[in-house]
Amino acid sequence: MFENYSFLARYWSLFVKGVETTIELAVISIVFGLILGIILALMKRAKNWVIAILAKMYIGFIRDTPLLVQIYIVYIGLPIVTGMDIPDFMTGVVALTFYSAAYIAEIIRSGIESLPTGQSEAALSLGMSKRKVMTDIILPQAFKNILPALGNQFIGNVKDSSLVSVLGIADLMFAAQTVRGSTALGLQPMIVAALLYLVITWLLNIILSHIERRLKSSDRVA
Amino acid sequence: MIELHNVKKSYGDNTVLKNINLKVNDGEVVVIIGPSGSGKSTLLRQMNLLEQPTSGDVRVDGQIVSGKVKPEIVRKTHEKIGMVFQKFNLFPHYTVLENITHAPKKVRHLDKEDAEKLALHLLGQIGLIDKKDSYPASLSGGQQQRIAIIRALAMQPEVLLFDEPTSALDPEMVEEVLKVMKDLAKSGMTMVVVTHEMGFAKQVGDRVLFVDDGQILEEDTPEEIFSHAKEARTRSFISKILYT
Ligand SMILES: Nc1ncnc2c1ncn2[C@@H]1O[C@H](COP(=O)(O)OP(=O)(O)OP(=O)(O)O)[C@@H](O)[C@H]1O
Ligand SMILES: [Mg+2]
Repeated sequence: MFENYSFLARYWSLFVKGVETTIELAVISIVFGLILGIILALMKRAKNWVIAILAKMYIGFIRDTPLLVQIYIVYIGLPIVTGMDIPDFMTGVVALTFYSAAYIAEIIRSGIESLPTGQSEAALSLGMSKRKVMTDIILPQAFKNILPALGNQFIGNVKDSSLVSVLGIADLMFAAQTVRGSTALGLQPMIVAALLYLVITWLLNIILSHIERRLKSSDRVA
Repeated sequence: MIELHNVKKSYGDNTVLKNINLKVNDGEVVVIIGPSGSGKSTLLRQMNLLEQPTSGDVRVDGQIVSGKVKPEIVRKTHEKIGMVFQKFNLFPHYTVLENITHAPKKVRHLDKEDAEKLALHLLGQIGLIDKKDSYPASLSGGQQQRIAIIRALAMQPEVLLFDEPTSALDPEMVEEVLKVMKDLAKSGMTMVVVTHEMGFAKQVGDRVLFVDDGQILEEDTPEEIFSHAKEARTRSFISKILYT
């Protein structure tokens, strides 16, 4: 376990490339996941029950089926639905976006619901439209409250992105598999991958807690 | 100004308001008193359509604004009728100045300069100009409530509703808020105030309504209702608030 790491000399660039791809997957999918998540959260709160139920069903489906199955559904379904040839990286991004959006929607919903109703009532009573109440008063406050949970979701995306290596996307996991195949080494490439995942999530944790601290120190809420 | 016609309000099986008929005239100060849970807040919230009546209708300046009307009519009604809450409800992520200028800018479309001029003028009247860049959390309850009042005023509403504006305050801060409200009343503002502050009711109230079990059981001038109420329930309620 602690020897035979000489393969790194030859394959390190594969791992570096893998780290880059993993981070790209996580960042792009968290950004789009956030957008889709906000839309889903608002749909779930909609007065129109058809819209609310659609959002509820979607969220339930994503949360109660394995990510790997979802990845294959997107992989096979996306070209059929769009009639286009979809690059594997794009497929991975779409699958991770669809997946994390459901969790983000629930995070946002709890953030909105944790605010006192007095906030929206005060804003409404000033004559603000429902849309402005949401964008100017509710979402900014909810967003601040849920930042830690969103940070955890981001770290989750980093880890979950390892599953899209099954599509042949050259992420960190894929790099480890490739090296394993071409060196006949069993454990070592996986240990390198695990350590690199650890470094990424550890760095993310530091960045996130730094952001949280800064928000707290400028905290406007008692 | 505001009229309620046969307004009923139920939550499920629980009938909270039973057949309310009420007219608030221009320039009038109406005080609402009554036991906890009798429906005072619900009544107030019907007037600016934070809650829709189960039946009956709400009219503002003669126009029906409740029931199946366009959302824009409801919004316009909110704009005309300001509200001050027991728990202040200032926006914690905005400074005092932003709290006051936000709606004038976004709803009345004042430019930044005019909105700030108006806000500073109002802050001057309550002696809090030096707090303009503070966040609400750093202010006392009394300061927050006074700012909540001028935040509502900055929309130049035709009526202001107050739901127990002083009951979440430490006793020493009640007067500073009542003073602002009395000045407003004297300036001719139309006000509907749920409060058990008898001094306020006697000094500036034109009418006092006693709400009990979802009905307006009795209404009269402050002098009459506080010293010669006709209904036994009113008298017993008033003696309770006098001695607590
Ligand atoms: N959103 C709601 N859903 C269900 N029931 C409600 C709702 N709002 C109020 N009620 C009920 O309506 C009744 C009257 O409430 P309301 O808040 O109007 O009373 P109140 O006179 O303002 O009391 P308080 O002095 O405690 O503020 C209560 O029984 C309350 O439980
Ligand atoms: Mg109440």
